[in-house]
Amino acid sequence: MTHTSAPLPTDDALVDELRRVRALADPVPEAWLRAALASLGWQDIDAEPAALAYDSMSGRDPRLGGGSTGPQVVRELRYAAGAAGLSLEVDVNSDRLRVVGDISPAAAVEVVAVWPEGQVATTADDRGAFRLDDLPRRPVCFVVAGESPVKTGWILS
Amino acid sequence: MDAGAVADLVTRSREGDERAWADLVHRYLGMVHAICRGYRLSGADAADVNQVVWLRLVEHLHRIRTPDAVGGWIAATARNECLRVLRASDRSLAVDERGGLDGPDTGIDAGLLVYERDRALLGAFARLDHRCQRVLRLLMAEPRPSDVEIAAALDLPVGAVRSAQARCLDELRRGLA
Repeated sequence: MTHTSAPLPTDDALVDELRRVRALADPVPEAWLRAALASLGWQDIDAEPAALAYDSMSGRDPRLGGGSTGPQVVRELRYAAGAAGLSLEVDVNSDRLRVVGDISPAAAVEVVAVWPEGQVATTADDRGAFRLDDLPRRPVCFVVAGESPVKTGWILS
Repeated sequence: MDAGAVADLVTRSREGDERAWADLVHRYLGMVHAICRGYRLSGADAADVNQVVWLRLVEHLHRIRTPDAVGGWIAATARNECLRVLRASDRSLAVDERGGLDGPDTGIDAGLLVYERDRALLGAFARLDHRCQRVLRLLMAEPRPSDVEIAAALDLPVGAVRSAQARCLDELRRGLA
């Protein structure tokens, strides 16, 4: 092969070659650009951001859920905004999410799950419990209505 | 693009300036892609990490105290989300312990390469360990991230970035020889 007898490329020349090959054979998908550009439109969810207080998936020992078929993970998240709290259990099952939540102090208020392509609403019962059984496995954000609405950050499970 | 220009884009994006946001996206989209690919994420997993990074940045815009350091924030967020996706799917061990001789799985489509030299380069890249692939992926991003951003993406001290790059380029060169 001829290239073995050529002088070895310098770092800069090698990086240039790598960049050219990457651009040809692994371009950034157009859909990534569209998704990134459209994200600015989500600046306007009118609710107070709640702080993430606990995430069972942020440690090195995620709790693995039960179930004998395939990996299934229950992720626990807790949010706080002033005296208000929201806890979530997100159950990932292939490409769908099941979410069981609790609002404190308990209130029968509307909870909206929002993802980039849509949203679904439910109402918590008078103990503050709610459940959303069939969300798409996409980045999702929860908005708790009420006198002073609260929103979680974007969650990817 | 210098740090002041990036800070200006952050400030204007915060005010809803779509043009500034587009410039910010174009500045860092390639880096986010390089980070996802460096962790072997592809398809819907990688696309979701990309999406959540930008959504988080939008919600974070009003809280950024050092707008000129936003690139490091984006890099660290992308890295953390990639690692979490891998943990959730129980693939993290496979990524770090396998040592990386699984050639075709680089996320790069050799079928699109015409020249033998390019294929040889890709072959040598695929034989590198995963860590070096991650290091070189960031050098391949367009535009090229700063050392501070690369350090955040790799969770390395900034002072260790250049030596890691030199070592991985050496390995690549040996693989080509």
